[in-house]
Amino acid sequence: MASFLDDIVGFTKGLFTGGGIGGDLARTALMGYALNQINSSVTKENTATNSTVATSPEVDKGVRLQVTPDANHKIPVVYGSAYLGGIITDAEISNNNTTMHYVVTICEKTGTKISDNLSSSFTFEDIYLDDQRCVFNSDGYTVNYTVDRDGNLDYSANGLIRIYCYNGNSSSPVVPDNYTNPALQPAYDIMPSWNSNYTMSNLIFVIVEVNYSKEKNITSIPTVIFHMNNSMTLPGDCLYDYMTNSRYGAGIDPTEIYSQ
Amino acid sequence: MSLTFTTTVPSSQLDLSAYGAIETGLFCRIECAYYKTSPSSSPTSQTLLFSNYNLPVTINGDTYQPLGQLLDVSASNSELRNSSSGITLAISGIPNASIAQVVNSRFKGSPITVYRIFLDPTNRNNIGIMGRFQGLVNNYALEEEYDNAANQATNRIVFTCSSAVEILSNKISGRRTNPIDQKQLYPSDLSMDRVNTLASSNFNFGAVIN
Repeated sequence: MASFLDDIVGFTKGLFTGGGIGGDLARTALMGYALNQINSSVTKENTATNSTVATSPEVDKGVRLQVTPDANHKIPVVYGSAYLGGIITDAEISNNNTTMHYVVTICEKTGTKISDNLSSSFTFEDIYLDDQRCVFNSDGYTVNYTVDRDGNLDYSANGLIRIYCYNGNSSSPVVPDNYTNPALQPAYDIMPSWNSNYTMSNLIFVIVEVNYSKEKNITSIPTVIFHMNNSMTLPGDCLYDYMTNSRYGAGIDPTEIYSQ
Repeated sequence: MSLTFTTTVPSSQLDLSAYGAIETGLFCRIECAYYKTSPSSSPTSQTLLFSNYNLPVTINGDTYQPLGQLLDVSASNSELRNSSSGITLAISGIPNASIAQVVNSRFKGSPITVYRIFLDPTNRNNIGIMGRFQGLVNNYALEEEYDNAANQATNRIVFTCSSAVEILSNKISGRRTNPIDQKQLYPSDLSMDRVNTLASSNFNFGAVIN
């Protein structure tokens, strides 16, 4: 029993084989489809060839960095405990562009406490890289991993970032609190172009070494925050130090101040 | 005639309501640590004591020279809190022969204290003493007054005094991160020498060199 489906098939058969206008149109369309298929296959071959070229290693153009020193930045004075970022005062890059060293000046070294006649001393409590607390290797300066505020560990900086701390001058290396390392180097042995004339007198500072790694996303200078702790905490000690210090205070002659 | 008192600055206000009339005088004390009477003399420590009263007054063993109207003390503000305002103090009639003492001495930085003393005019008894100003001599100036008729000159010295509060507020602005500040404190330290050049420098961190 013939159905409407048979009529459609019959009509289509007539289109390809007939000699009327419908047949011409059908043949043209068929030829166009065949050409299109040939073009597609050629394009696919070309694409395949190109993709073979693209997989070859691309030259790393690196990241263009500009450090931000400030000639008018006043070096702060820290009494007690404080979080502060410091200011970059020197920077160098290695010949192969993969290692950067930069100096971050944090604060002034304060004087002697009148309460116990001992020199005030600074300790680096914690150091934060891009708002993540650093945990160092046993050497006290090579970053092992960082910890974010939720307690998640990030090992991307492992071995790639080193932070060398100095307490008062270039010849006084220290490690952060809870670390020990008796074999620390002076700052002029860390900064490639420094010598013993780079003394950083009476300054608390660090040298940060960053090794480039595109895979670990270490491609820029991280923001560093330091939790500093000064042993000078008593109000009388702090006031006396600030009143008498001629470097950052009022510079008043100590003989004019009655202290006990 | 001279007056001699032994007194201390009271901790409370003076009650003058019982007196129909009072006399007052300003008494100045300048402690000069480097005082020379002539260019060739050795410096000594000298305390200058003078007042605008018309009689010598000895207070607690120190005799204040009466300069009367030759001493002019500028007005000072009475404020509840410690104030940083200063005063000027002018002494007129200094003969030319005494100028050498002024020129060769170092008054700058000398502590100065000014008291006001209240006296009973009927018997010149001491009613009380109040502190008026306490500070340091910040600067001084000499002014010459020439009398044509008498063909002679006298001199006037003006002390500009700053209060102790003002001196305390003159704190040093602190060390800045630049080579000028660093070398001012530590001439051989090169640590900050590259700050200015770094501000306009770029680093191609990680760029592969062909």
